Amino acid sequence: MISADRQSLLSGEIASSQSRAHFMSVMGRVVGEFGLDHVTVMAAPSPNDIAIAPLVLESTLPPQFAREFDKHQFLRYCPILPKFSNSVLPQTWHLGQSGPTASFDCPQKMYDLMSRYDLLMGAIFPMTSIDSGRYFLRYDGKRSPLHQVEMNELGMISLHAFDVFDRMRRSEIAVPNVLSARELEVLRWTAQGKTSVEIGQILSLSDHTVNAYMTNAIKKLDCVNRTQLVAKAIRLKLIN
Amino acid sequence: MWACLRSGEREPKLPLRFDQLDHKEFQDCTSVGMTEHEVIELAQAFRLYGFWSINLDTGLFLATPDVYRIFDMQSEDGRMNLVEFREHIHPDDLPILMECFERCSSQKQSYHMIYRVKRGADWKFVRTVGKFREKPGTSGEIVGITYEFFERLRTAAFTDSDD
Repeated sequence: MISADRQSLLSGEIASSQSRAHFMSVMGRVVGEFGLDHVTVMAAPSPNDIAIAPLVLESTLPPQFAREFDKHQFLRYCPILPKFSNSVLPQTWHLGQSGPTASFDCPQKMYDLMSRYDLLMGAIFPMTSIDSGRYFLRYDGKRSPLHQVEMNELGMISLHAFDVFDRMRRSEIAVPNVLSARELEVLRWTAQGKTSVEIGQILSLSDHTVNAYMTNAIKKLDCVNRTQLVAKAIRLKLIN
Repeated sequence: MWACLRSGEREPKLPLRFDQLDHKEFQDCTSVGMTEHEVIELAQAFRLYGFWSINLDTGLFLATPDVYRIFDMQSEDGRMNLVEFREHIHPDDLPILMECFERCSSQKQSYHMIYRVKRGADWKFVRTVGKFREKPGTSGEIVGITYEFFERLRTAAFTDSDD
């Protein structure tokens, strides 16, 4: 298949993604088309980050690889990341046949780990979300280095893919875990200045049950106390 | 800053500042022989000056009568109804005000904010300064003051006994 047709077909499939799972399934096809093995969507590390796992949003890389990578804090020694501090261009790398090279200068242990998981080459395409967050689309595999034409094609597909993924990510933030009708009811009464005992009397529930509903709502909206929960619910317009 | 806007000019983003209370030197009223009660009495004499507290665990928001007067709300037992309260805040300012509460309650910070509150068909400016404080046996509380905000003008009045 010529590259324009392939790009159009894959971009169409990516655009039809309705969920992260579907998105990753399509990205699995993209990876296969280019003879690669893995794809990762992750937040761009800041200079203070020492672990990769908390940054990963979606990935087909083995979790064990990330655990071992982070155990040794190899993020600190990654020779590719510093290049993104003064450039937005995609970066590629190849491990070489016999240990770290000048183009991929890393600790021997890091080289061994990547070799053990067949992550012999790769590419990172930096992306910027419209809410200004910086992200990476990273590809890994064991094939020969990507040619410029392939990089161009993969770059366009990555741009399209990130746009679709980022829209999903932002909609997840806008609509967090939905509260149940009962949780919303209890939350609304709390916002109106009622205590758990009073809410229990209004709704014919025990105050323990009211507290349980509030605790669930606090967890669902990722809050730490009722005050934060009420404020967040008002901000997100969850309370009518 | 707000008063300097001409019609048609784009309004700047509302100021949201945290931890801005420590920079101001504490003015000890007792050094000039005044009691704290007198200070509060004098401060309240020339403008609406409301005091409030929010219990982080229960979410209960207690406020003094001037807070209700500022927001043109009815006070029943001092407990603020936040569902009604939000209807009195400018819709553009409500999200950032709620974010203030969120950050203050989750990160136990102090904050200072100026926002718009309904005054009939118009809007007036209100300033709120809040801070987190420990409360034994609980997660703590946020306490603060809210008052109508006026631009500080260079004005002076002189009286002359000869006239």
